Amino acid sequence: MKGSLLILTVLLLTFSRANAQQLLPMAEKEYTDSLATVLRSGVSDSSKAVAEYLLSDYWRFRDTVKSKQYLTQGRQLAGNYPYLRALYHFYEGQYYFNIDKARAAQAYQEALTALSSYKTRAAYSSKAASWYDYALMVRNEKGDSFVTDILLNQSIPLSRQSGDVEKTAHFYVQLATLLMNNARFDKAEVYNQKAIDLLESKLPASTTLLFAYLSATSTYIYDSKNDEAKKFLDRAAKLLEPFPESINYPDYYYNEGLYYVAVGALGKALVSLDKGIGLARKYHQGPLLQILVFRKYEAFLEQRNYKKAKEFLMGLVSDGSLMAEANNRRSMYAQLAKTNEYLGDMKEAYHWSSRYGQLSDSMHGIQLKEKIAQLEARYQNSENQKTITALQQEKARAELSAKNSRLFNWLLGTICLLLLVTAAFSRSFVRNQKKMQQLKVTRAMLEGEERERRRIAQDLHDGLGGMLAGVKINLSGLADGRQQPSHDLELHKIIGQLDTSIGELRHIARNMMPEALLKYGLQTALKDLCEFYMRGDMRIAFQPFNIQASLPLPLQINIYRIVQEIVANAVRHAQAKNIILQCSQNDPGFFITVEDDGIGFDQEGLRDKKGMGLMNVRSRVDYMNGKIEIISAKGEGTTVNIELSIYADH
Amino acid sequence: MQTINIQVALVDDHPVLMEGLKSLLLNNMNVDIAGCFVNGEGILSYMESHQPDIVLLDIALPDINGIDLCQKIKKRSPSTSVLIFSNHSERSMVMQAIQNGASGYFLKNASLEELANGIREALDGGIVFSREVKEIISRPSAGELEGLPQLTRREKQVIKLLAEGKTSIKIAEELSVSSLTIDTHRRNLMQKFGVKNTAELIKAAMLQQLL
Repeated sequence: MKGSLLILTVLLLTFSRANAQQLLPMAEKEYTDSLATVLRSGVSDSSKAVAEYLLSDYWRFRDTVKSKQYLTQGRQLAGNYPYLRALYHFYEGQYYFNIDKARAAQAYQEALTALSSYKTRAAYSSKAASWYDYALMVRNEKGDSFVTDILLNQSIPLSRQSGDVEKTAHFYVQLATLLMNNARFDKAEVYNQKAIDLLESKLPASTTLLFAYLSATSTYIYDSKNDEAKKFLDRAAKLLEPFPESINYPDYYYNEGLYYVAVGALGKALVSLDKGIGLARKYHQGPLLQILVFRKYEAFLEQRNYKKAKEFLMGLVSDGSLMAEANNRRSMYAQLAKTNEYLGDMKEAYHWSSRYGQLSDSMHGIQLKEKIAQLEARYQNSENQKTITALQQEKARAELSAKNSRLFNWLLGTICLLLLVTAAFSRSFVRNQKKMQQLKVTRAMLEGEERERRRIAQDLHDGLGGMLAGVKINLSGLADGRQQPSHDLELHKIIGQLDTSIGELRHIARNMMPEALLKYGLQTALKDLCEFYMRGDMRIAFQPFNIQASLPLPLQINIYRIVQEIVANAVRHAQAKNIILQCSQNDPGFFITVEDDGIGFDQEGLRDKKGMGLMNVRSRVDYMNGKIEIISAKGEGTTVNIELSIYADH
Repeated sequence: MQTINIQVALVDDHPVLMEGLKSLLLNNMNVDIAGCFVNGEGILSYMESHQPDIVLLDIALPDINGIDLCQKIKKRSPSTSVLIFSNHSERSMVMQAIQNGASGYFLKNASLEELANGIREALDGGIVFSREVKEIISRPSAGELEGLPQLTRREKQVIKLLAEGKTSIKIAEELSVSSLTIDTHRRNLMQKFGVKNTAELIKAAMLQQLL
């Protein structure tokens, strides 16, 4: 019995009744249902946020995914409530409690910082819980004395301030468990009793009372007061009876098993422990499960069934979750050494015993080193703190002056920018207006010009042309009627001159306004133009691409005029043998290329070429938002490339 | 038996010309002037009940274009020969007139002899032109490219850069024009070579040793 007690004590060092952290009513289903109702009923966001937090807390041992979900939702609902935002850190810590100790510890610290300014009862309660949970998270580094200290000096006083009886009792139970683990049974019994007295009068159905009973049970068993233990165990059983689904049953069975081992009813103990193991597995209560399993090992040991006991230990070693803790590992090695000794396997016993020794040594070494490092760090921290404070004051001063000057700069900059934007805007507006006006005038001029040309062309053609043709025919008739050849000769000469005049007139009229352009459109008119200029020694290749008849007439006329001028220039001045005229439409662009193999001119010559013709071309190109490019060199012909826009606002 | 005179209708809005032409024809040929009309409406209503052998038709009329009028006349009376008598010397006009059913095209400075011969030939079912018109239509057409596609200098540049694997945008940058311009060149080139894509274009250009 004494031997097993040793194991218990060592193992319990790291078993801190994890589930005891959850102070949930035993009527769990009703509890979650009521929280769900709060969420559904759509009361204020703040109460919903709290419900989300509590649900997150409820689920953290059962379903971490759900827990996380509620936590996130709670945070979202917390939105603009600073207190609820501060509370988030605490529940975040709760969420990480079993998953990630470092993150949990950090979250609790954040919660304490965030909550520090709140003086409400709820805040005190949350602070008390944060302190204790934080202490648990750093327990491995700082030891049980730190936890005891926190409980006595932080959590219990804060909890009392909050007036929360149950929480206060809870911390008493935790303190008692801690003391029991350190074999301070008498003190543990006092604190258990404090909790039980407090709860039995005020909260006789609370979960915390159950924990107090169970804590008292174990304490009395360790203190070899089995009758006292049985009393509290029975009270716990009574409390649990109405709630067969409670997750606290494994804990209960653990204590029951403990009791049966203590009184030597090993068969009953194994039954209790197996029940506990099954439920602990079901509820994912890892550490509790390990303890239950260990307790089973102990029962085997009591039965002197060393073979089974060894199997169990090896199972725990390979399972690994208890082995993570150096203290546990060490006691496991000790137990394995002892079991093998009982089994007569001295070689294995020696092996485990020496591992135990090695681990012990290194643990002491590590602890020493850590202590030294801690002291050094603490010293440096305080030195650093001094420097940081000084620097911070300096920085704050600098920042204030910088802030002021920055503010002034910003103001100045904004005003300047505003002025600049206004100026640029109005300038571009005026310029735009001007440009629009110019375009309008140009358009009006061009259109008026074309109208006039059209009228003159018609008059020449139909009026004067018809007249001259009539005169010529009449003269011809006269000539035919005459008999004197000498007079006829004279007359025929006059008729010939008249002929030439009619030809000239036709030429002028066509230049004025080609009938084909009006009637058959740009492509036909351009083809006529080329054919008009073609002579035996000069070819013009006309290459039209995709010229649409739907092109507005003013644009067609404009394009025609441009081409007319350039082709005429090439014919007249370039002495070319071959000319290519290429016109292609590709919305929104219209492209003209006129290329000749004539004499060309150098760029100097181009400057002199600012005659009326080219100027007209340029203004027409501008009118269609276009670009003109003239490439030429002496003896190498000339290329004129023009890009026009047919969608611009004409 | 006296031969039946050729029935000729004149359509021209110019009185001087009309009078001259009328006396000239009457004095020199066996013709009857069936009627003189100054617009399209006049001749069309006349032709509802008459079918002249010849209509001498001006193009510039106050109410309708002579070339369109020609088609309407031929519809009314397919046996009537229409001769265009105009100051318009564009090839496109001549071609369009023939397409619309005209039997001949004369410029107004045609000689009487030409005109008389033309009328006779047209009655025999021929198509006749005055000397000057013959010159116009016998000039090589500007549009008909013979043999290999003729490329402009810019097109040669573009095709060379395309063959180097450059994109329209890159080429546009190099030639400092818009990429729409280059795209247009490319489209035109593909049309010239009768190919469907740039790869085929480059191949065709290589075959013709343009690259």
